[in-house]
Amino acid sequence: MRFQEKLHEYSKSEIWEEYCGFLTLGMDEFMSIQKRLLEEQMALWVPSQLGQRILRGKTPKTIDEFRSMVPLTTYEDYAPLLLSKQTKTLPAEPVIWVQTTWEGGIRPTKVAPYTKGMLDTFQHNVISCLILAASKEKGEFEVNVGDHMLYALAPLPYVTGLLPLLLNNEIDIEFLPPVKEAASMSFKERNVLGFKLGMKKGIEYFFGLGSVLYYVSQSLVSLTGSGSKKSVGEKLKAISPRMALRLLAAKRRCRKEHRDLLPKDLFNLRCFMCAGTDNRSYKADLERMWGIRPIELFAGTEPTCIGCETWSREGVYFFPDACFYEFIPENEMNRSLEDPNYEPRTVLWNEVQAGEIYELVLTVFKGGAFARYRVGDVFRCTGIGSAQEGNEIPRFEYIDRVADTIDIAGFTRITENSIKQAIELSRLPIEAWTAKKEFTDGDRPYLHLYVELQRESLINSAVSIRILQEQLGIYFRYLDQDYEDLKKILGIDPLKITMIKCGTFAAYEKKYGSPIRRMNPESCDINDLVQCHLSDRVENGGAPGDWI
Amino acid sequence: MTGYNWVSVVSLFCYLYLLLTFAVNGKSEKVFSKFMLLMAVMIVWVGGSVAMRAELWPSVNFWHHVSVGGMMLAAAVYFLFIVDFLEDRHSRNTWVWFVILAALFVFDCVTCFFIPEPVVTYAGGAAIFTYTYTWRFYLLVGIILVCIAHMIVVVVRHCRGNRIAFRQLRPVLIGIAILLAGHLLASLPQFSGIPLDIISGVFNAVFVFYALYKKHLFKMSLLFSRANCVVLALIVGLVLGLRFFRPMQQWLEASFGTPHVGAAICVSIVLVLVVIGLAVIFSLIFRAVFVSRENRRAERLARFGDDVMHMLSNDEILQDLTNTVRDMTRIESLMVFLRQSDGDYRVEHTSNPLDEKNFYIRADHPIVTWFTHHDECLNMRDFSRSTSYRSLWDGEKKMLAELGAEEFVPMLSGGDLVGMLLIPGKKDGAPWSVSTLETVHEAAAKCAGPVRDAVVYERSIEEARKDKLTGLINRKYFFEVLDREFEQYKDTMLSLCLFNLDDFKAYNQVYGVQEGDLALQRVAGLLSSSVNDVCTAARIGGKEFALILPGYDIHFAKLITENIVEEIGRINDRTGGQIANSLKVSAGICAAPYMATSARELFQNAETAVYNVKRSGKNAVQIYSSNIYYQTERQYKFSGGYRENASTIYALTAAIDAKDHYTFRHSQNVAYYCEELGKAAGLSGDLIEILKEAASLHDIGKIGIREDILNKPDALTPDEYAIMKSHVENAVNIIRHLPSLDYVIPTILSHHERYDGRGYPQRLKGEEIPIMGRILCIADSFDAMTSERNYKKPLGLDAAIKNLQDEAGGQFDPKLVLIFVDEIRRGRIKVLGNADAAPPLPSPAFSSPTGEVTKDAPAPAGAAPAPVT
Repeated sequence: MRFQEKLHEYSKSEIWEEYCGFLTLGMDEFMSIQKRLLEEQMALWVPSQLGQRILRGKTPKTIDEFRSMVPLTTYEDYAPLLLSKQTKTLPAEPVIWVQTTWEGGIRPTKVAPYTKGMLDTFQHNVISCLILAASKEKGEFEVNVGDHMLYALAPLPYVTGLLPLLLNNEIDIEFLPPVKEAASMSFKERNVLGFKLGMKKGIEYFFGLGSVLYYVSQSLVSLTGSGSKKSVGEKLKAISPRMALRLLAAKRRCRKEHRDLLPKDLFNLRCFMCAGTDNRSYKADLERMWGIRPIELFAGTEPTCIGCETWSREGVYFFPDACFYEFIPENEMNRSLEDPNYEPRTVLWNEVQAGEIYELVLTVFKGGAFARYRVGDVFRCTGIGSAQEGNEIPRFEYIDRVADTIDIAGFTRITENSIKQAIELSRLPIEAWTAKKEFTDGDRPYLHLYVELQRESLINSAVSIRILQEQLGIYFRYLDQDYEDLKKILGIDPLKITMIKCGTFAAYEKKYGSPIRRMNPESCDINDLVQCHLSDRVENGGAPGDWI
Repeated sequence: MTGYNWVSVVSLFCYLYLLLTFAVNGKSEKVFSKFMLLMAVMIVWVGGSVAMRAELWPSVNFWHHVSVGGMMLAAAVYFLFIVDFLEDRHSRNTWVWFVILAALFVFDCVTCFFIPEPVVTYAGGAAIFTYTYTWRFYLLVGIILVCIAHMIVVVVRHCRGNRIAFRQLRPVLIGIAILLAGHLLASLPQFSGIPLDIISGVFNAVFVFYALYKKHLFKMSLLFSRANCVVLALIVGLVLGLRFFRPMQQWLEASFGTPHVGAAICVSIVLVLVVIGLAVIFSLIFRAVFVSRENRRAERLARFGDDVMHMLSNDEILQDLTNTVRDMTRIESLMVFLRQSDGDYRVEHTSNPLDEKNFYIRADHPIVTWFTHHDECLNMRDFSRSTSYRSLWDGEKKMLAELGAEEFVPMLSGGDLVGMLLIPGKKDGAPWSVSTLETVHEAAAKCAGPVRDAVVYERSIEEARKDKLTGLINRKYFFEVLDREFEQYKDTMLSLCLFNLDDFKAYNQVYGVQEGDLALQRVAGLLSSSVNDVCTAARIGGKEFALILPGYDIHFAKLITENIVEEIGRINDRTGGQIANSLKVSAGICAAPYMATSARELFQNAETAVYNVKRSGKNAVQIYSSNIYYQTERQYKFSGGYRENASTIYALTAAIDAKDHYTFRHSQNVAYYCEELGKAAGLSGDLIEILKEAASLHDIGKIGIREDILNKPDALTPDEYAIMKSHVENAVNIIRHLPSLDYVIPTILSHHERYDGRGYPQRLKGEEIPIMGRILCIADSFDAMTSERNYKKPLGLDAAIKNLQDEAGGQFDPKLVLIFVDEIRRGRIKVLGNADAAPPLPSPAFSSPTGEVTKDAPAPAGAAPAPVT
């Protein structure tokens, strides 16, 4: 029975119990689902060629043995079999392969197999997300057949392209523009057509990356603004009478309140979902523009859809049947960043502590390929148990990618290797560098590159900050399609360069005994670097700001 | 009374009856209290109206207000009832309407503001009640309509998108529609005089009642309980009393001159009797019409419960369960999962014997967990929508889908989940009715305890009967089965095949004990799978197996045995035929009634055949027969088994000789007598060879007896005699360690058995004693009699012969005694006595590989006959 039939056949409380009942599971109940499904996955994964390749002939029989025998894995462990799509080596026959960017510029794509069981679970959990996003309180939600969704995510073969298919398996929601048409359109064309259709039919749901939602929302405002060359009559013709009336009333109200037209003036959005990184930076603005705060969900290429916020927006709850969750505590995560050979300890979902930061480790259920996989995302456990939601389970907040990867607005994955390659290609005389993801005063993310130039090259080379920024930007865009999309789609140039005086990195190393971390060093380390730069200046009696 | 009044009275009684039904049966759910309140309000409404029309005491106006009160409160109570019926959690302050309307009623009672009191006029003796309605009345109607509108809002809000709730509520809504329509029509002049309002009220009550029934809140039998019959009889009695008490009293007074008080008593007695009679009649009618069905069901279930209480076989219990369920419901097919020793639940029984049974449900399955908290049927559609369902494995989901599982019914005994019943869905996709599931649930609950007991019983029986390693039946149970089968098939055909693995000790040494155990399991599997269910495979010793083949003749038994022997040879074929130390087996077959007259003889003959194969080079199949000899040589050709054993026998007999020369000589003599008697008795050459070897070794156990006992000139004390008797078991214990000679064990073991069953060690009787044991017994005794010992002189030949003849049928086989004595008298058997006639070792008892007895063997050259006296 499809979800839309259930809407007529069952009461809201029954539907809520079916799709959102996991929220009120006890810790033990949640863990028993986790452990039971892990046993199923072990039975599939351990004897597979993929499993044996990682296990090196060992055969774990229990969950404890599984956790001790299977090392923590990264995509490199799977790449030889997955990239060549050797389906016979997998725990189960995949139905579809989805792909994403692996490492900007170096290794363009990684792929992940999805089995029938994974897709079924994914579909169920997507409906759970839809209900939770449309809920105002426990058991109270409004989802109707024929609602319209403005969908600002990438089509297949990206995992986001699966969502419309899975949703439409369960309920007849109209995507604006229709998925088939959208696949062959540019990002801008999709937005324009989506908005046009929205003005005719209304928009009840809106889903996308936080940054993209923000960009699209701004575009909608401009599309309705006075900048358009069309006459009022033409504009009114293109929209439904109801929307026309609403537009006129909204314009009148905006004039009265001396403000620009906002999407909330035109649309009664019921369900506002965002995914990806840096959503925190955009949520307040999105709420201002649409009148409701977006709810966040966790989904990824490797793990599928694993969690969703509720009406309270207090944190994301994980689904019990998508993956087996393990968490690397922050100190263990940092230690493994310092020493790549170190095997960090993990804790289980029921062992996390409120307020602590963890790196997520996943074993995908239902014949998935990934076991004890470091997906590269960092979360904070914001609390355990909620009086408002009437549960006793932990909830999480997405922090960012792990420190060795810089993800800007969910678009790029810049690693040490990709920066190195850009620098090499640019042939800029950079002696030393460190990169950190930072945020503007307006809370927008950017890549801050602290560089030190080669002393001897300064005489013969033109190396102003502008040149550095432009040249490196060109090569970043050349190497990384996603970086280019960031510029092309969102119009963002996220690179900021700060030049550090020659010798500063060496001075730092001399002072602290080890070089500063290349990727995402702690803010205090950056301060220490700047302090080295300043003290060096004083000692040498140089002019302030020579090189900055 | 007018027709109008009659309708009113009948409807009043309907309400009263429904009210009392629930009041008497003490239903505690909130919705029932609201239903009873609704009935009470309707009674007040109609009752007030009836009493007013009847102008009963105290006054018309009093009853008018009572009736108006019922009418005004009806809407509010309906509202309360619907909220509880829908279990609507969102509706708050539901009593507000009741309070408002109750307040308005009180206000109206005092002021007659809304409805003025009726004006009573009389026309032709009949009272006519005239109301004058003003805008105030319509104001009251308006308020009541607002209450109804509120109720509609609640209904719409609750049922929007919830078809199930709407379907449940539909009868109630129809009832309300009828009620409103009845009142509307009653106000029209066209329907003047027809009590449509009253009739619609009754219909309304029936619909509400039906809605409760459809929601499975009570059983229909509740309506017709014994208490209700009494209540109904009382109500009818009251009506009759009101109507006929006075006329009957007057009739008695007038007709019979009965005094006033006396007439009243008489009428009262009659009325009481009528009430009792009515109660009985109602009870019988309801029982016949409604209750009997329910009771039949209860009786059938009770009978089923009694039946299964006395059953100790799960098959029987589950078959009875299936039959009961099929009889009582429309369920055609079901599947029973029972808990196994590992905690998992496996299919133990299916209604259709052709259904696959290879399914199981793990002990940690969410369905099992669910039943630990719920003693009720589990609907798979509902379960598939629960959070627990999310922990199901894909394989488990697939299995449930394949089985078409619609309902699971628990078999709980004291909270312990013994098993589960799986009921597939109906072909038309419709759900099973609640009553059907209740029946199955009750039946399952009734057999849960017996099933648990039967499982324990069967398991203990099985453990006692089965060999743990191989799962075949063990030696003890094998003999029970053999006896049973022999009794059943002795007049037709019964074959027995015995298998003895060759050189298994060496196999264990080569491959290890673990591999040896595996080999035993594989052999067991091979035996089980080679025969049908009528046959029985058993493990009767460490490396010995048996097949009982009822109804099989020798020919088929031979074919089966040969196939098995061939397959056993391939068990550890890991090198494509180049087998090192492959598993080999010696097999012997005997069949009744051709070659055995008792189960024990059948077994011993088969065993003899096995030992003959062992002795003849192993790895072959032999059919026992004293005349017919059949032997199939396999890939390993016979290669002089006797000669191979010669050195072993030499060593053993030399050991006896060193310790006790007399015993050595005695053994030689006995071997000679055995050979000769065996020939005379018609034994085959091979059996004679076995007999000779057994005779040479029959006293080998005396090596372990102290010399002072062996050579004691006086009679032995009881303790010494007991020690002496142990030489038989000592001999067996020595030879057991020589696998190549183990075929002589049965003969040696049985040579002290007596034909009358008083011998030792097994107290075998008659032909239960192997023929070679009986021969050895005669030879042993004859030589003992005719030889001199430390403690006695030799008997003369005649005395010895007399002793033999005296003990024929006692210690000895009478037929063999006859033969032996005849041979002695004819001089074909020479009496050796104490003549030290034994030739130099090797023993003269040994034969050539071809089985020919060497000429110089038994009768020592120049041996003088034993002294006759």
